[in-house]
Amino acid sequence: MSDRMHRDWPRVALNGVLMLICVVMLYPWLLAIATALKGQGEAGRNPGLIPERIDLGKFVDVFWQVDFPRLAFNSIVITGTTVFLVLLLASLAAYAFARLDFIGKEPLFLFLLLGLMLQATALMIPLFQVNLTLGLLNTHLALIGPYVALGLPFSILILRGFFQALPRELDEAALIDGASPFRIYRQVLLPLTRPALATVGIFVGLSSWNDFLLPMLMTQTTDMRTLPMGLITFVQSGLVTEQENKFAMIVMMTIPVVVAFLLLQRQFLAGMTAGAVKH
Amino acid sequence: MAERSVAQPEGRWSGFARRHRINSGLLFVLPALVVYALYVAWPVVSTIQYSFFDWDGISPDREFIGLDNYVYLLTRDRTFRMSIVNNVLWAVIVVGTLLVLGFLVAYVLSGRLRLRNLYRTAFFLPTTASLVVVAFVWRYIYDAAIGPLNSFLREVGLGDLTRTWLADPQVTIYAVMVVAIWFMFGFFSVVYLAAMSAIPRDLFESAEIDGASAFQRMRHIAYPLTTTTRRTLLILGLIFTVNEFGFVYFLSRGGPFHASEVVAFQIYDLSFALNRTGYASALTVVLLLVSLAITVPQLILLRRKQDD
Repeated sequence: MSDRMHRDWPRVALNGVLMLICVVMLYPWLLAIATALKGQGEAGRNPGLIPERIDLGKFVDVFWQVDFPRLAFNSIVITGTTVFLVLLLASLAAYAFARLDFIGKEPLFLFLLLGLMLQATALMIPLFQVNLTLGLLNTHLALIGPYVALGLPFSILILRGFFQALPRELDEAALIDGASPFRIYRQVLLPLTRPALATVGIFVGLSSWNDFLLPMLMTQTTDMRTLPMGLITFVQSGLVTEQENKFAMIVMMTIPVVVAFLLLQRQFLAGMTAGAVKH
Repeated sequence: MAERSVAQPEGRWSGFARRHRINSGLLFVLPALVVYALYVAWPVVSTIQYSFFDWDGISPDREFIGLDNYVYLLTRDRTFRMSIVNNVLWAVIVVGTLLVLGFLVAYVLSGRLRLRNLYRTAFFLPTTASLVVVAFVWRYIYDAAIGPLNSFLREVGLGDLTRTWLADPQVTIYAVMVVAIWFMFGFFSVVYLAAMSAIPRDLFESAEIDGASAFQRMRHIAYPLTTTTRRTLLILGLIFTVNEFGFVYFLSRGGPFHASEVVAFQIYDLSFALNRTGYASALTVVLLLVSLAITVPQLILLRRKQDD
């Protein structure tokens, strides 16, 4: 009996601590939703989680005020193109690094791996200058280019590992049938890497979808803004003095990602943790 | 006979590889290399170049000043010293907390626990969000006049603890760090959790049968068997720290009086607000060198492991 109690109290304490962490982790989200629902000016006097009055009308106002469709369109175009290009370029390169032999293979791979340590923050000055030189400022390409380049090292590393794990016999068989390296890549191996492509795609897609730094530097006009940039300008414009409107925008732009996460949780977890565990 | 059937495909393979040696392998890598060279390699080289100039980032004329930017940076720039101190504090407090807390929570979650998936989802949610969103939510929480944090403190009779969280030289940088910990905690614990679920269950079970306590099992099984993951997370954490910009920018603008300045924010401020692009590039070079020092040992280790 006493032994049982002895064994149980840490479990109870542990569950308590976990619950507490859970509350801390969830509270800001609940606050965001609650504030978004509150009536005009209510957040200033009621910082609690229960709205006195629920006002849904502001969602419509804010939706048009920030030109949500335009922001979403830009975000979708930029993220979609980025993911497509990264998957294409990285899988081609990863296949070559895993299966083919060519001059400069080792140094080139190391050269690409060095990019693992780089984030856009470290390159904000020269990336701006590169886009300025190329005349790309305030275009979708000004963002897609850096996103693809910075996404490649991680993606090539992950995909190369995946290609290496596929049995060589597959290539052998295709080779005997006279297939070229490109056909082996396209028709034999690539279809088998779909899980790895999903992993890489989610990782790269999420980082470009959520990025705010490059849109801050590279976009100048309203019609080029992405969703995070739309939120920044909405908040900083001074037009929005009420917390409720700001949070309405926050909720509207966050819900699609959260829904995607809840639906594809397994893939998200794999995508966001792949690099860290595989090393 | 058996030997031949193994050897033959190998031989044919290398013959195939030799035939396609230059023309095809490089062609596969080329598209990636071009984009990488344009948006990673070229930028790195130009940063180094800019750092030797006095330049505002816009005008065509710039003055070559050799190492003057670096001399000023190392000897006279007090804000830079403040940034370094804050970045080091950030590495110790934020990365330290994440490594410890992430490990402990992952260990608890790796046991047979009800609601385990609920916890994991709740913890991981911030990782999928945009940093801007997180920063704006917390800016409201911290708001001195109407924010929930101060009003909660007043309500429970701890009014003395209320602060202007984001404009108090003593507390601001720590308030910002809390947000960063909140943001990345889920990522750290989920990565740890993945590493722990790769440990064979019977190791824990046989230790339990032998009378090892939960703490001993954590100390002697879970801890040593997650060393590789810990090292990777440490490096990732340090890279995030060196590149920390967003939370400082949105929450405190490096203030008050540069008290919460960090290197990456200073670079942004110098280059895009004060037009001191040449000098900001010298700071960037320092940032790149530190990143290199953090990453290279890991890369060497990675290569060695693959050669084994």
